[in-house]
Amino acid sequence: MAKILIVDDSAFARNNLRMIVENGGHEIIGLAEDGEQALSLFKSLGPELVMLDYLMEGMSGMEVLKEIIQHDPDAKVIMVSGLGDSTVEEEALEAGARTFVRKPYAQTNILKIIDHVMEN
Amino acid sequence: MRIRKKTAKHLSISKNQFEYFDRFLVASTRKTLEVLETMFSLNIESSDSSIKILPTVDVKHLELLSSDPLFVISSEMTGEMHGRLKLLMSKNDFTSLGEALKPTLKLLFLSSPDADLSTLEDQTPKWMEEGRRPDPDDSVFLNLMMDTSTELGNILFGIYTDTIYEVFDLHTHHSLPEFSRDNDHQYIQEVLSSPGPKSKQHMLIQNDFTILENHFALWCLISPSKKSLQTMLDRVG
Repeated sequence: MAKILIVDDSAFARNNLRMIVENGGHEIIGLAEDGEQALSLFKSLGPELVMLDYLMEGMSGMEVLKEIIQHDPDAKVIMVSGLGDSTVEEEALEAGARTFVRKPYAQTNILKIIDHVMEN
Repeated sequence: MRIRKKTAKHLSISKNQFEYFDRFLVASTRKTLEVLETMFSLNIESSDSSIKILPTVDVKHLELLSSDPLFVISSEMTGEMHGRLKLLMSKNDFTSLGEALKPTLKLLFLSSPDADLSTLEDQTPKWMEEGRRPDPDDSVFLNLMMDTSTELGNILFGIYTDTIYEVFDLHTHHSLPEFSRDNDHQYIQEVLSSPGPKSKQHMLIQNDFTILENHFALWCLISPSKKSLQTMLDRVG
């Protein structure tokens, strides 16, 4: 079971992902709707895994990812996005994301990905 | 699923080039259906799909734009192609989608950590009850649908840019989508008239779906700049 922080500016996406990962036995320790809130919760809660949306108003997911990795180079971050362009995925992986997941979330798939990231 | 295609008479697109737009329609419709089913965990039927390439003047006079109001999710397209992406829903389609997604919206409303559980029973909107159709003027419905349909637009725009890459080999991505309720179509008419990245021709994709006996149409207006449309045609010419 992983302690997870979910970061997404869409309430639908946050709650959808929250229900999926809770059904998979994981614990959601925080929900953030923007980059500033995400960084604050990351520092105060120390999640084992961050599910971070790429496209957000204000601080982008990439900016948040870079700050998280700067704060903790071993942080486990899964970047999620509705963007279809593969260059975005490459950019996220280069910046330190463990993997990149395309929205929408299929329950079985996302739980396998979380397990894989947590095991490695 | 029935697929229709149509092109403007005044635009010179060869049969071979149109084959690629046809492929674009088939691939994007298939992915859209998959996305809707995954996103909302519902069985969805696709009944009709079409792609038209229209000049601005024809878009302005579409029957869709006579619907009052119009719900619009907008994004900019950048990369190897520039232009605009718009997901358009008439009031009726927006309400039908909301009706179909009522279980999802209810769950979203009830499970929101922001909801005050102590007074939730009193706050639960009447339209969430069985047999009541949502009211697009209800602020809770509008807020939930604004968030849900903006996320839907975000994912669908990802599908369209992904399919543009797959079919036309052009890397593009979209900006943060914005939702607007266009009461008197002033917004959409302004967008179509604005100088912006000039779009003389638009790709209009219509997908008709049925969820739990609720029929609705999703219209996507892809407005590539003049140069970008030419690039698309050159890639497949």
